[in-house]
Amino acid sequence: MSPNDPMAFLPLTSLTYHVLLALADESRHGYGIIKEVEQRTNGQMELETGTLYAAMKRMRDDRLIEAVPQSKRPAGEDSRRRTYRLTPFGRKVLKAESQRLAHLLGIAAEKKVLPIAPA
Amino acid sequence: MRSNNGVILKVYRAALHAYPRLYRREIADEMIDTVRARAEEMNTRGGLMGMIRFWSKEITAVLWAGIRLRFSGNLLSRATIPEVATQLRYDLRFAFRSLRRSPVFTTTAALTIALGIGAAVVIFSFVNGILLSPLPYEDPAGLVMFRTYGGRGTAISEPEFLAFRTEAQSLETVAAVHDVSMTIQLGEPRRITAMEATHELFPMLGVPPLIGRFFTNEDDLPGAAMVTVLSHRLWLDMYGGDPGALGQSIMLDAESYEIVGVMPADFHFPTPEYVLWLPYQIDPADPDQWNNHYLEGYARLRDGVDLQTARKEIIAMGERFVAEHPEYLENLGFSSDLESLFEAVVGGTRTPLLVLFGAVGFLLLIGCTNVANLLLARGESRKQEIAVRSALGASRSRVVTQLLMESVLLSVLGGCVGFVLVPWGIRTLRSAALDTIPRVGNITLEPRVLAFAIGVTLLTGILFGILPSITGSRSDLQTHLKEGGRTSSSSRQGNLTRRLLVACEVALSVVLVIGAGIMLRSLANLQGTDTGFRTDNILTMRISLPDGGRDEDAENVAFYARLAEQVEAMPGVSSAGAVGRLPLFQGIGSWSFQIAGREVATIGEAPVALLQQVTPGYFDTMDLRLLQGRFLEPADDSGARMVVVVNEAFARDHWPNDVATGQRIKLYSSRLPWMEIVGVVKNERHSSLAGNVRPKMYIPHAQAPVSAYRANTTMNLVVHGEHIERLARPIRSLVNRMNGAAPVYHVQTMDEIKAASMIDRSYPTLLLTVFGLLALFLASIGIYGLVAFQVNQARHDIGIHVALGASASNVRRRILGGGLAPVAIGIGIGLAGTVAMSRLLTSMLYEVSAVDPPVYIGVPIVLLIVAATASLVPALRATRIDPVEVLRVE
Repeated sequence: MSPNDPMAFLPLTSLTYHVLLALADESRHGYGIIKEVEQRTNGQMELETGTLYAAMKRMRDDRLIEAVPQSKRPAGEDSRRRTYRLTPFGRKVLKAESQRLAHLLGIAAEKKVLPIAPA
Repeated sequence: MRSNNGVILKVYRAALHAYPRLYRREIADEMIDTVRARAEEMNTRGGLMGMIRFWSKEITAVLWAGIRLRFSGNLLSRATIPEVATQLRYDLRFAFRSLRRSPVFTTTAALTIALGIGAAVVIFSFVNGILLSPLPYEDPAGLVMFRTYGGRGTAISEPEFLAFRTEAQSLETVAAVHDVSMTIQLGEPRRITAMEATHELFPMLGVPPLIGRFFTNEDDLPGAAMVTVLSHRLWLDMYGGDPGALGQSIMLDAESYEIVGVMPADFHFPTPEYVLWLPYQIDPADPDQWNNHYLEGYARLRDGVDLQTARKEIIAMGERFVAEHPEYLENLGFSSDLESLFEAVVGGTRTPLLVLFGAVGFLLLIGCTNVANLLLARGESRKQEIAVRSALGASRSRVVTQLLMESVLLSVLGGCVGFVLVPWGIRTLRSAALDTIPRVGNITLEPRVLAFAIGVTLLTGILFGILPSITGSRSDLQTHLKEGGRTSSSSRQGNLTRRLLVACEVALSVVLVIGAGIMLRSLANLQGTDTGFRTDNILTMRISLPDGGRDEDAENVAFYARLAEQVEAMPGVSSAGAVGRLPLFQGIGSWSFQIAGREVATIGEAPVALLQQVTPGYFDTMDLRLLQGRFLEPADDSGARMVVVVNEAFARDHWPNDVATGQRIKLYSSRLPWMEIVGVVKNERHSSLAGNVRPKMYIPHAQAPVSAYRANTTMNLVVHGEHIERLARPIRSLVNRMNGAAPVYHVQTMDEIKAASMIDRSYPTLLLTVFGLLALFLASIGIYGLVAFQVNQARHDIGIHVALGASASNVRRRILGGGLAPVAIGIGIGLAGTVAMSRLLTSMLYEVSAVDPPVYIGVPIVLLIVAATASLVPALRATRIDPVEVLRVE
């Protein structure tokens, strides 16, 4: 199992997947991630701060996400609010997991569990 | 909300310490910032309850996530289960080897723990079987029992039962029972305890018969056919479990009853003593009088009604009864109430059981501190080993895990040894408890007890291991490798820990030993109570003649007179007599009576007293003391003038300033004759040693058919003599020869009866004393261990002191002081703790204060003596330290 192989991380925990997904379109700070996940899941997934930051520590250790360097942040933003973004490797892992899920959904559609096959 | 958030944010910041330090430093501010933003958002959305939910979720999450973060690294390097298992296996093997290397330590520690765990599990099995498991009836929480005051015990009368049954809105069903003793022919006549019950009883309990049926509405009306339901045990004894028993008839007290049902094997109500049930026949149109309280009432609460609501109704009904029937109830001070059936069954055992459970908990803690101290001392000598392991790359947490593994293993060893003793312990305690503990059959090694045993074993291991493993893993590599195991500042700190542990252990022992001491004083007071009668060398047995009705009263009287006479003639017997109700063993009924010259109009206004039927020999045999007049004599027969002897309480109640002898009284009824008081005897304790003495009348058995309606057919023979236990057999065969249909039962000595009457007090006292002695023993080992260890550690210093001219007494004083200081502190803490907890004992004490000065002074002195003795051996050894030898080792 090589740490450079995205497949080594699969399947992701739902928490990890949601965090990666939240950072897929733009970099966000912790609060932003919580809000994004909450909105995307229609409030079904409410993250506690402690849980999120513990997960983010692991994800940073595994180089899936990283903190945006101070100099690159938009001017005027609260300096305490560090923002996070996907690493290229993190994006690969997110893609691999999404493909795995899409494959599963395809099977579900074939078996008429779902009405239509996902794109 | 803002300021509230300030406080809660502080709590949150504290909880953040669950996170690993480095990471926490990096992100703490950021997290606080985030959680504050979330909190403000929640505040506008959820209100107060939302906030409480939010913060409890957030704080739990930060604690939990932080702890998990500490034990797992990143996503990939998180240890997998097989890896953890391998590591555990390795640690376990290591722990095994390390324990095997020091067999003396391992044995001592494991035995200490075995003792604590074994005792805790045994007592828990009692707590579980009696207090924690529900009663074996359908929806037992809804079952209640009537409690009345002013009548006989807690009993209700027939009219009260009928009123409760038809009028009480909060009760779904009401049932009444009454216990009776009957003779059954099983090869030889045998006396059994049966229960008369109204038809509501079994459906109310929700237990259907094994075969056949229970009573119907018709069975308990007067004039119905005589039917009976057998217990499983009696069914096996009589019919070997044959279902054909249904429909057959059995003879009970010379009456024939048809068997209509058999109950299942595990059914008891309320105790296994009852082996047969009969319908309690009651005529709703013509019930017994309001003041005849002899039925036990049970009920089931209506769905949705709680006990408090039902109690209010029953209390109000009781007040109404008194208002409507003052002529019967007013003078009795009658009132009625309800109590849950569970409380009625186990209520009295709760306090002693919980006190004992607390005591074993203390004992286990004392054992833990002892083992912790042993481990600390051992850790001291393993410093080098640990230092080497750290040097080779073992992390602190690895070392802690390994040391903890050792202590848990030790505790498991101890737990296994202790557990082997548990079945024996349960058996011993169960049989020693006699019948005084309710639900004794329910005390078994069931899954919950096993779970408790496992839990307490693991917890014990962690409890005594955590401190030593943390201090033991603290390794200062340089010093330990360099100094080669000699005293350092870190081991001085270890000494402080050890002294604190000994102080704790002494404090716990003080609480236990004082508790035991006070209970012993109470028991001694009880034992020393003047019973008013002789208890040594008295043999008693009960005999029930077949009841042939009033016509056979004369024969009945003659039988007991002849029996007493013939027994008195036996070799070794000095006197014999018979009595209706045996003191300290049998309940006794009270009767209303009239005093000549002070007649009252209604029975409700009449005074009451206990009524005892005796043969003349009773007074001599029991050695009652005569205060006035004379005892009853053989000449006081049915043809003579009616006479009565009363006790001191009776005389004092009614003639406080006058002599009672010569006064006339009669039982309340216009038809009964007046009796002259011919003697006053000293009070005899009847119901219990501790209770109040009530007024009592003794009438001659021979006159009872005239002066008290009937003479008892069941009497207790009392015999005084030498080697009384050898008399049981000849007397039994004498009774058989005189009347083959009369069972002889309850053969026992008066000393046995007295001991059994105290068992509810002597039993917990004995156990508490054993626990107290064990605590004292463990504490003395702990103190010895501490002092011996200190001497060993200070050998070098002592050597120098001696070399510089310190005298032996100087050295001794220093060592003794080192040992006694923590003991003194422990005693202080223990005394304060005991005073705080003494309230718990109050309900179990007899004529002694829970803060009894002699015990509070004596116990610390005993402990100091024990501590001094335990310290003396190592202190003497210290004075023999040869400075030359110690310094040469340098």
